[in-house]
Amino acid sequence: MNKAPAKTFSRLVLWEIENCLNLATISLIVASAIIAVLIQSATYQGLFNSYIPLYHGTNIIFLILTLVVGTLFSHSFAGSFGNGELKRLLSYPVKRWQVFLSKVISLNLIIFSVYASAYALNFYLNPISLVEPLFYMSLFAMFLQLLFVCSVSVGISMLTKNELISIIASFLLFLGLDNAFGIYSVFSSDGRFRYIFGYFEQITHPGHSMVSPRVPITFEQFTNSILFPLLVATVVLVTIFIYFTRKMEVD
Amino acid sequence: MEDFVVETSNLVKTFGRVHALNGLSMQIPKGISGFVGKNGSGKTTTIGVLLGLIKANTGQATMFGLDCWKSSFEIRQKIGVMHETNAYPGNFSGRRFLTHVAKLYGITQIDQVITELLNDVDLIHAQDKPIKTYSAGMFKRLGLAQALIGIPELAILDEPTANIDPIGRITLLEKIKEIHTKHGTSFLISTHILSDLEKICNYLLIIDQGKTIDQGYINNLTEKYSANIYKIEVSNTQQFAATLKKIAIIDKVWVENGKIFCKVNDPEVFCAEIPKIVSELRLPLKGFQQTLGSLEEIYAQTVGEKR
Repeated sequence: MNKAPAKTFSRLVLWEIENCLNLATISLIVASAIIAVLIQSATYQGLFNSYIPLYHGTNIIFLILTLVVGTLFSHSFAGSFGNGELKRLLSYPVKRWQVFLSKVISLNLIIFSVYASAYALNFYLNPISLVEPLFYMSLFAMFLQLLFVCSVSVGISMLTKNELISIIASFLLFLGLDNAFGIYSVFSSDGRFRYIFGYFEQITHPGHSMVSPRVPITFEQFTNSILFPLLVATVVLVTIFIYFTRKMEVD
Repeated sequence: MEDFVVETSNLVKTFGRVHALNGLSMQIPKGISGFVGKNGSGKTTTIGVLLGLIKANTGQATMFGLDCWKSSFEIRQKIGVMHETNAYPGNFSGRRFLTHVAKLYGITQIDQVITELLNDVDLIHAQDKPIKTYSAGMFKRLGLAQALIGIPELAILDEPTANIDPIGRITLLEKIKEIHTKHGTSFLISTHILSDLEKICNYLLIIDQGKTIDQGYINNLTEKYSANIYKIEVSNTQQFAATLKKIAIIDKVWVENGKIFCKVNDPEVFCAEIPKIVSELRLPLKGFQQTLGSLEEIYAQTVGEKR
């Protein structure tokens, strides 16, 4: 039989994307993204400054995003472990790193694309300029949150190898962190967003601070808010990657 | 020296306190081989070790001379696997799913290959239906199809006939035999349905509690286990069995379904002794015959002996 060198990694990414694009999964992502953005916009529509809805109500988007990301990554890792999909996948001539990265990349890509598209509704719902820098900064903050939740959910999935427990544990963990640290800490999603948004607002819209309380946000707070989720995501994902590729047993 | 496709020696695998494999040693030659053992005997764990999905605590496992843990990628390029669970993407059509698998194997002329495979496993009529609408038998045939993509040197099938109706089982087994004849693919079939193996296998490996009980070509095993086994039917089974146990040439006596089975080391002397015992005990002999070596009998003897 004729065989050519298989472009395994790109095939796996496409497979994962196609697998996610089934009606149930894509409906969940799209619906959650649109609802999150609509709730946010409806709450603060009509106020004098056009980019206000980007700041206020973001906690709702992050909350919904956390639940959706936790659910999908738990399904992709712990779920595929439990139902035998991972076992089947690893029985093909594929390398473990390819399976791991294809899952992480494809899901992140889909979720971020859908949420960013839904977030772009703000251009229609609110009079925001297409070149409004805070819009793109908010998207960046959303990406950081996605990466953060993704890494922790994958970590919990690999620890528990149980889809339901992983979903509940990751959601409760983030809910707990947000409640425990509030909006003045880089450990909570609200806090990180407040620092990132507020610092950038100081630069791009001086004198129009929407971030409450109106005290200047330092560069250190801004960088910590970016570095903390990035660092956690990197450490957790690298650790899980090593475990997945070198140690993990699929029975 | 015989060329084995799979070889293991003294494999040990524990999960916590559970000893899944207890020094398993086996050799699987080319052809269709049966891998038999009751539930929990270690069959699936052994397959996991062979595929590089599970790492054995100690011992060695090789396929085609390659180490199963270190060279699992190279091994998986030469084999196809059908797992017991039906974890296929339900929203894909059968053809779409097989296309993805074929691409992973780097197969060219995918359409032609898949059409041929779907014909081989009788799924061509359902090729465009979503997998989630398939019946249990269709799932198994799809599993067989994806295991045979690229015509592997060896296909490992874990419980291929579980949960399917008798007609479906016969069809699937016939397909396996047909594919072996057509393409020369070797099969390692793990099951606890012995009657299935009898129809197609030429080699048998019996394991229990993570250890190999016996292995060999079916002809040899049949000869080995049936030659000196006799089945006796009398009215008072217990009394007769107790008397037989006192005879030196009888290795073992056991009762199954009201019939006495005994393994003897000198059949000629035993056949001469039986009439004497019957007259001594004054029990009418209802039946006396040498057993035919079915796989079930071989299994009962090997695993039964161990118990």
